[in-house]
Amino acid sequence: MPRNPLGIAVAALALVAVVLTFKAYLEESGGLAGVLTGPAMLAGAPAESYPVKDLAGKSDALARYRGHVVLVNLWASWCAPCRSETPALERLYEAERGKGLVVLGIDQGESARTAATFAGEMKLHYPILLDEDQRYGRAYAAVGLPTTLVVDRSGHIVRGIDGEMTLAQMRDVVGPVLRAQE
Amino acid sequence: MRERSAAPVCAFTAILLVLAQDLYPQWAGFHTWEYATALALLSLPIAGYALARRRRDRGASGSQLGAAMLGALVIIAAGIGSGLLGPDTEIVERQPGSVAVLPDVAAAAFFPNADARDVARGDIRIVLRRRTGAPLDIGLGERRYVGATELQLVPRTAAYIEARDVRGDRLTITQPTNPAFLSPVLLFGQQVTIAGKALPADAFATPAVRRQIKAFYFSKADSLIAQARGMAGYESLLFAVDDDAGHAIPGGIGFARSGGTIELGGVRLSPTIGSYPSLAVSAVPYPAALAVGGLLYLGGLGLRFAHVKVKSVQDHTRRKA
Repeated sequence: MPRNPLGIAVAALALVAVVLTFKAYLEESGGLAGVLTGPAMLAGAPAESYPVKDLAGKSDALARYRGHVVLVNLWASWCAPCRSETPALERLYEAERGKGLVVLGIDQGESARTAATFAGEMKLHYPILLDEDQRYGRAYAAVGLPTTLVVDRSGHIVRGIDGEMTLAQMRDVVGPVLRAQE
Repeated sequence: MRERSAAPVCAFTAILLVLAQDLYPQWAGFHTWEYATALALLSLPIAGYALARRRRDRGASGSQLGAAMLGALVIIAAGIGSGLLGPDTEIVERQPGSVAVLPDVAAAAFFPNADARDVARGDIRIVLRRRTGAPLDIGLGERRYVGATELQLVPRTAAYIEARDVRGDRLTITQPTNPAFLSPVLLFGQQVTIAGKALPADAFATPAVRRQIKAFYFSKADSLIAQARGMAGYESLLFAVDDDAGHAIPGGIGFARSGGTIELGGVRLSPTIGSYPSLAVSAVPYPAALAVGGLLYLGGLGLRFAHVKVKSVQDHTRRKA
């Protein structure tokens, strides 16, 4: 039986506190990692939605299309790869809209007049939103234009893709999501 | 007598030095060998006193002071641990809308999107999502603790840029050299010396009209040396507009105040100057160790004080009797 059990308990408590202190730092010496970049990293994350205007000046947002599979395409009229990709987006939309696909073009930083001219030239029927503050571009970690994301019916990002896509690539990405969620 | 007074003074001084880490966690001096040595030297008389006291006086008062000195030693150990083993303060600077991984706190910091109004107000909150535990959000002037890490926001100069062509149509802003490619918010991560003054600088592009634009931030004080009409006493940006090959455009240099507009090289530029926070991640003494040490220190001193008081009352009563 120790002569001073309280003293021993106090000393043990102090020792535990000191050991925990050093353990905490030794475990936490990982250092800071860099920034996550690129839309591919967003797979599995909930898709952010911000209220913006459409070409008619009405308020709209990605969240309004919940329940559909949405192919979000960030673009701008000055972007040559966006221009060459757009006909494939329109064909995809026309072919798959009956199965629940929405193609949502979100113009990055341009005025309604510029976006409307582009949509008219390209004879687009899918909805176009105007993101003048470029918030979708930042939230979706765009490292260039075009940037494409596939959002499932529950509002989660399935894939994030940087750069121009062909119609076949779009079908490859969208097809399994449409089939899985029919 | 000297030993008796030196140890409590050393304990008190050392505790103040350790608590200073919590008050000013970003001071680099806490991570130097001089600071650790000072704490170690202060701990010697405390340890000596606690041991000597215990040998000489096995009564209640010896235990009480021993516990108080032990508490001081725990706090000192926490301070030395944080100073020597904790990482130096890291300022995490990210563009609005981006995410930074913080492995030290097993969390990701979400830097929210910001428009012109948010930048002007500067009251943006950063959200920390942790692997375990509820999300934490941090505002300016607030401190959050995660284990032995303290998180604080540091305001930094930022400008939201709105660019339009000569017809007034809005233009996309890109930052090709920045991880946030599509951001109209400049964070001035570089410094350029103009007229002997180091000025925060940044760059962006308006690809629709093939312009590359450099922006230099002039504070109210800096604006006095700028000698630009109407800018003295105002925060402003000096813009330098080049073509897409990097050649300067004649008449492509000019100042714009926050909220004002200037047309340079076929682009109308309207800056809103304000701030956007960075996240300061600092090591602090492990809170659990501080709590245990503080409890022992204050508890020991409190009991000792009460013991002395009771004894003096007893002596007084005995003398009276």
